Amino acid sequence: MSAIYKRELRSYFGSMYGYIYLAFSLCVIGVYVTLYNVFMFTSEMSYTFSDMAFLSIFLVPVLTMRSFAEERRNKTDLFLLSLPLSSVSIVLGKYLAMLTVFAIPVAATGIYALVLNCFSTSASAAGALASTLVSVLSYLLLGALMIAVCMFISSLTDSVVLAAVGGFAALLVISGIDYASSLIEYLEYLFPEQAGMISFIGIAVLLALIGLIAGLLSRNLTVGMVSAAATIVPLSVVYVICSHKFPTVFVGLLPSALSRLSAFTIFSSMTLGTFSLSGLVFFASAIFLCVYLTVRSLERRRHVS
Amino acid sequence: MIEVKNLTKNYGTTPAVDDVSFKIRDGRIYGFLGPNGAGKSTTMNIISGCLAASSGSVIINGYDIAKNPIEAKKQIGYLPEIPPLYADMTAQEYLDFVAQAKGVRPDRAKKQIREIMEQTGIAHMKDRLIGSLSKGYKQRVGIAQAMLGNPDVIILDEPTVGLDPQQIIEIRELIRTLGQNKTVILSSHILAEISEVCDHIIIISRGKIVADSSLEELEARISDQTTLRMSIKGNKTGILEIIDRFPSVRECTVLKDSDGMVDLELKLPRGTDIRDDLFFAMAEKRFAVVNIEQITASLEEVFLSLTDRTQGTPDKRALREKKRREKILGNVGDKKQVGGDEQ
Repeated sequence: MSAIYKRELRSYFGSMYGYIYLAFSLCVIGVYVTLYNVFMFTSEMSYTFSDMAFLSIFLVPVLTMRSFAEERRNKTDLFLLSLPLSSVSIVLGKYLAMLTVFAIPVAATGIYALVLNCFSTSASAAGALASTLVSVLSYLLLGALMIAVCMFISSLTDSVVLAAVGGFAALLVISGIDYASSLIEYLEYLFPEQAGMISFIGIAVLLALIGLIAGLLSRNLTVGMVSAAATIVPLSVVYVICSHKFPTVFVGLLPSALSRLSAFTIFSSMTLGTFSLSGLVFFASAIFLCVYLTVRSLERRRHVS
Repeated sequence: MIEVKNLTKNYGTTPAVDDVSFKIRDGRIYGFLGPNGAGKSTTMNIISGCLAASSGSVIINGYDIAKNPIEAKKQIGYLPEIPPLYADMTAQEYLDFVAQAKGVRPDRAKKQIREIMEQTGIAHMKDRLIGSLSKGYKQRVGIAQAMLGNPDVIILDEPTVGLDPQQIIEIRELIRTLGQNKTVILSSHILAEISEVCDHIIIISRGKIVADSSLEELEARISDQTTLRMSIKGNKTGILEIIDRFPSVRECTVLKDSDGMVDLELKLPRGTDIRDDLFFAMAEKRFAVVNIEQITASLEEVFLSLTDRTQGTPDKRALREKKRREKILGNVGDKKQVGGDEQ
């Protein structure tokens, strides 16, 4: 793993690529810190990081696009598989290297936080520092998830551009989940009679979409659709039974489920100071899932080439 | 030692490698020969663990590549068809990376890399970016990479493709020195290369092994006969009667018999030359020998005949191609006929 990690870091900083990423990130962080902290006379950095998170939607795909797509294009991924390394260590090596590059500019904000802290009043100094630390940690967690998602997408294609665009689209969808959640909530508010049905239909459509994506990824559409049907059919049965006996069960189910699964919602509640264990578990499991999928995607190259 | 048993690899429904079994013994240079698309690279990729087989097993020094991949992969050094190089690294950095990935201890790695660089002749290029190296040097870096970690077996997939003649000679020389203390498997579609470097030849065609023997055996198999091709003016029965008088003729086939011209092919034991006698015997009966040609079968021909034999039923595309060709040729024939009428 360390060999891959070192090679990846070297490839970022052996070329201009890593430096341009660093320069751009630092510049953006600098602008935000100036706007939100220096001009507003506050050492509270949660707003800074909230806005950084949205900018990361553009930055992270650029960071991750080459990770596997370029290896595939140069056919060096098969070479990596011929080395006495496990697929897990290849993926983790690359992942940790990207995480390191991502963390460098974030660590630089620690300096800003310390400088800002010098000017804060003694009563709130410790509290502000703690809250900044929480913001930094949650931003790192969100970034780790974004990198994992984009790394997986990069492992699906041999085109670097497609990897970047795909990663950007995926992150856009992830960031849009909480908007979708509030939209459905509003719909349910507009039509209180059909509230349960709206949630039910929404969940069914979502499951069908997941099945479709899974089918497309595994290049076996029937399996994807069958597994989607296998979840939708029992859900419909439950819905029919519930709508007779407990008509309120489905009301608001989809919006609340979505907001619980929205990385950005969890992130913003965490940056505001409520660093929760459930949020940590959410990020850890989502990252694990993406890393696992990347390992599978790399392994699949051994079966179809 | 490598043991390949009943190896099959399907791409979709078409088998690229079909039930292939062979053994690679220690300390020899093996040539893996076959036309393009025969399944050479697929087999090599499976042996080196890059590809998973559909069925069958590969056991390298007692380690199964599917069950114990990490140990098995430590036994081999592999150079794929396209050298797996990172253009943004220098040769030194790249070899450092591979040594580390192969788990060579850092204190030994430095010495080993230096030795291998000397051996492959890239020492003076070590600080150049790989992207700026010539194709020959890239290939050398690829071979150096395969040698790292001191594996018992080195697998080289078409190592001389795209090199100039001088580079080809140098790479062959390098392979020969490698073969002195390692097992080398070399794939190629060029017979001359294999016959020059290898002790043992495995010929693969359409995913099947068609020959697996030492170079001497293969040469012996073909070199015991010569072929005579003749064109004689005269009638067929008369000519065949004369040929019957020569006991050394093993086989006689009539290739063509038209317009009083008979084309023949005779098979004779190697070393017998009956051309003079045949000529005079024919002349006696006033049959004019128009052309006589002695062909000694080469390794090349054996290769061609072996790889042709397994072609089996032609697929649809080949059939279409054949029809198309017939149509064109047919038209040409018609035109000729028309021309003949005019005359």
